[in-house]
Amino acid sequence: MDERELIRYIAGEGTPEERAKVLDWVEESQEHRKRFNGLKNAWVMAHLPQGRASRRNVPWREERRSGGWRSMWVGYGVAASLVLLLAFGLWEWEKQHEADIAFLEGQEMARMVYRTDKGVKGKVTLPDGSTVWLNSDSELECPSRFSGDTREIVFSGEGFFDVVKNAERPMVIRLENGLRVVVRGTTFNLASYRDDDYVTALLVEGNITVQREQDGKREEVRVRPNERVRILKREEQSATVNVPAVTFPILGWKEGWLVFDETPMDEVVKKLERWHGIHLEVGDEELLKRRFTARFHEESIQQILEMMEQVALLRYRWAGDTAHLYMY
Amino acid sequence: MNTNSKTYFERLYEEYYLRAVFFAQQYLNDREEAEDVAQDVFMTLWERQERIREDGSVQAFILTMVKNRCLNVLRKRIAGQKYSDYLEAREAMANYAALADDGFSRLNMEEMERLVREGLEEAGKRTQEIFRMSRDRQMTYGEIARDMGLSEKAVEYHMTKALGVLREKLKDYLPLVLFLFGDLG
Repeated sequence: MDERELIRYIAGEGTPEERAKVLDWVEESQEHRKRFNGLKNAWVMAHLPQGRASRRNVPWREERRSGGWRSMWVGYGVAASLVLLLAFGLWEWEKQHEADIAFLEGQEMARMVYRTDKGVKGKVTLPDGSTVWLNSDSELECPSRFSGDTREIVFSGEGFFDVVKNAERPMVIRLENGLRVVVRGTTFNLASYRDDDYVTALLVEGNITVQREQDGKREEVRVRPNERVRILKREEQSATVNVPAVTFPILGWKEGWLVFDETPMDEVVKKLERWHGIHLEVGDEELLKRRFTARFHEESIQQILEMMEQVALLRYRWAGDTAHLYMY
Repeated sequence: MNTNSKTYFERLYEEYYLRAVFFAQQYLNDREEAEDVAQDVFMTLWERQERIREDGSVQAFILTMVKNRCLNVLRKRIAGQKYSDYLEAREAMANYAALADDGFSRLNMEEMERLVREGLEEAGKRTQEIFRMSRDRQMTYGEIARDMGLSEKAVEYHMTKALGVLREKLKDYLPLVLFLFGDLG
């Protein structure tokens, strides 16, 4: 890498190929990155125009553009590669749940970590162009560039993956307990929360293989479209596969739907906590045995609790920002 | 308007607005967003009626505000994944990293500003003038040549000389700048 090429890049010149080449070099090591940063910043400081503005030739603008944030999803458009059972709509609840994905840059080979807190959702583009929609309380880690025979990422939480086809270079999603999902070009929903004792994946299109490798032993489950696999994290040979009659309860979250379908209360509580970022305390253990069916779209947690009380499911009481739940 | 009655704020705006826009544009690659950021900074200065301490560098003070807003814009942009292609994403991240570099603090900016000024003085009156025409008035080499009654080659020579002097002055900010035209990789 020649300093002239770097200066051309910094000055805003060069074809996309030349610019990509410079970025390849910059992303290669922390040392290259530091050199680039120093050069770029020094160039900018040396080229600051010292001419004068006057309010006549640079008018003070009264109406300012609103932040680009709100048009986030509109700008992205509908990707043609998505083949979903549900129509892809806009994320209307973004106004309430401002996606605030923490972006951290690693020290070495620039590892990217994307995290959504409870009460937050987001969308990530991986270095190969694959897309991952993140549900609340999820985390995804990947390198800034894929190299080698596999596209490896580390994941926990819930995500809807749309993976770019590449049979020679499968994507390997590392979960925990030696569990992995191997993907070639596929759309699927994956749930692997740290505080759940199972992992579930629903395949929409393509193919995935869920593997477990522990103590030298390997087990594998191939999943076909429309199939849903559920594996207990800590138990070997525990995979169960079924074809759910309706996928809306599983995929609805992407469209901002919080769906319960005969869901046991312990799971309802967990989902509500993740979705709304609040804390729920169950006062009566009996309550956990009940099941709940409902769909919520833009309701607040307050509205949801009120509704649950109205249908004689439970009683609730707020104490600070914790809601205590009791048998009705 | 009588020059004497220009307010402190108006003088600030006149002097530093274009620099703020230029700075933001280098990292945001978007003229409109750069202007938004610059307007936001001056709006804040106006609302807070901030008297900038004249002992430090006013430019560094203002550019630090611009820098921080650019970091916010880039952070949201990166998180929001609003790109037309992957190259744009990588460029945003490279710009973010450059801005966030710990070698680009307000003090660093002050020092770089001083070094640039000293460097241009050391380069000589004519070289300085030519560099300024290119940088401050965005004149092309052809325009400068005509204006100063020189050949374009002469203008090019002065520009190269200016950049050489600046590079030497700023060498502490440019690690391993010795490998100028060779392979840095």
